[in-house]
Amino acid sequence: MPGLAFMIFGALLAAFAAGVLEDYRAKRILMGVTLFGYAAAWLSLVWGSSPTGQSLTAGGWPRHLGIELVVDAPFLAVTGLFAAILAASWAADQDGLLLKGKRSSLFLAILAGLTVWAANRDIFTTFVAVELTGASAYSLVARPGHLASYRAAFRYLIFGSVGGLIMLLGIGSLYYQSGYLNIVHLGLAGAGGLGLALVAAGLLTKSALVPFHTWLPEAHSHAPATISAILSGALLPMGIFTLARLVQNGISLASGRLDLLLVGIGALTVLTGHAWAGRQTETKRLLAYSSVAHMGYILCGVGCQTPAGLSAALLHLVVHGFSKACAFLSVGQLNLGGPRPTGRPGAGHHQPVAGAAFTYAVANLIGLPLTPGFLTKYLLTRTLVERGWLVPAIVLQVGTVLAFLYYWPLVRYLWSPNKSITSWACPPGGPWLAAGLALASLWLPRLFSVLIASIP
Amino acid sequence: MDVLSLGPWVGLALFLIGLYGLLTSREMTRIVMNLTVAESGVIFALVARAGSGGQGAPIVGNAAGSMVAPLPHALVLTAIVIGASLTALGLSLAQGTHELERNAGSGEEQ
Repeated sequence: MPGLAFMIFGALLAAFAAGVLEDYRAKRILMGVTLFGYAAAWLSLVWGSSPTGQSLTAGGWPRHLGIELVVDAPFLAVTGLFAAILAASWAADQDGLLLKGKRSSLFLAILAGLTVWAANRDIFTTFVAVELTGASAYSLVARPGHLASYRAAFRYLIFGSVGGLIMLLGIGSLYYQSGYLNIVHLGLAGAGGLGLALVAAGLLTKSALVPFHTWLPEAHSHAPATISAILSGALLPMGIFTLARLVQNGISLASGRLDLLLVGIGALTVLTGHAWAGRQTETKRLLAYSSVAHMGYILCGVGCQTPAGLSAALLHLVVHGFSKACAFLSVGQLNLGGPRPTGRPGAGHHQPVAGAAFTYAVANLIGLPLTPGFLTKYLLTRTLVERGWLVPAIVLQVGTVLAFLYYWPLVRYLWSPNKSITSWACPPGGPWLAAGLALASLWLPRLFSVLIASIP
Repeated sequence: MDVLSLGPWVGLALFLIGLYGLLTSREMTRIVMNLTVAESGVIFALVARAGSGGQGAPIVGNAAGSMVAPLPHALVLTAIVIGASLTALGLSLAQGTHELERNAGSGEEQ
């Protein structure tokens, strides 16, 4: 599969090359070519994909000894998401922040790390991909000369590293139980128990589930808007993605109910995230807490441990990724980042495209009818009800109401009839990008039917 | 009793000591140092579990039963590299924070 090889090694080599390059224009061309090639490789994989997924073992080693990479529906769904979000963030980067210093290198390293993370079935290689992505993300959060962002990056690094260490302990435990590192073989050998608990704790820290969520609001609100879009939309849900792969292959706790534990944590996270989001006065912090809540939604789907639950979780992951990235980028365009009372009311009239993109993204995040977000929330709720868990299902609905209550003032503020600001610096082309992401999420319902049919 | 069989527990204890220090420290450099201690604990636990006393190195020529398991060593080597780079990153972030704090402090005094 040359497409997969390009997606991983192309991005990785470009990351090294971008670290050496000094010229802004050369870096810009390199990033553009890499992202375009990545998208083309992704399309070639979608074109040639089979419903059961394809597997590739690196270097021809047997599967239980070597590294196994798979191209299946979940991989294609999340890598398509990465390509769209990173391309939009790169194009929306009006100040050239991504071109300063070694940022372009880190940006491409995130792309390579995320792709390895999504593709491989080897739990230790996943750990390496997690740390590669994490290290790049910690560095990108820090903005030059911005003290709060340095503190946030440091906090993010400490939480992420401790999560990684706990995950490594769990991987060791799983390996010594069974002698395997491949997820499929771990499942067949009946590994799990304490090892799974540790790996899950590490992964849930990376995905900011309650009670390990306290690093997220700082990191995502102090980072530049383009970086927040990548962190929230693409990187954050990947911890749960790996957990879903483990659950899917039958790795479970030795005693106790893993499903109830995961759904419980998920429901608690939904409530906590929405409750705290409602108390924020700053738009980016509000969006960050909303990300926490949405990680809870995804975990509820994974916790169901049914094919319907897993596919609903995957769809929600993709919809949330698109919408949240779109929301962060349009907030950056609309200058809504500051505290709400001193922001500019009626900004939507001055930048109608960015305003519409933000409004659509918010409708998706709330889950208003006729949006993809509504469909995924409906699927999640239906799965929970089918399993007989009414309380979490009700919690999801309460979350929707809370989200409407705290997003509504923001949208009304955006479209308030106050047109007193006559000169409004609007960067050329920027708002169209946010709108493009919003429109891109419109093809999701079409993708849904394909994905639901293909997930075993 | 084989002393090496205590290894994983020693590693776990080291990890918990590091975690405790990390949670109770306020200063950034100390936090990074405690992270290093916790990381050493995890690595120690993984390596110690790979073999018992009297086993040889995993090289060609030794019989399969008489050498330590080679795979954990390869994993640990990668983990050490990751840990070293994260430590460096943490320290550089701490340094950047201190510099910004100092600049902010001198700005207020003037």
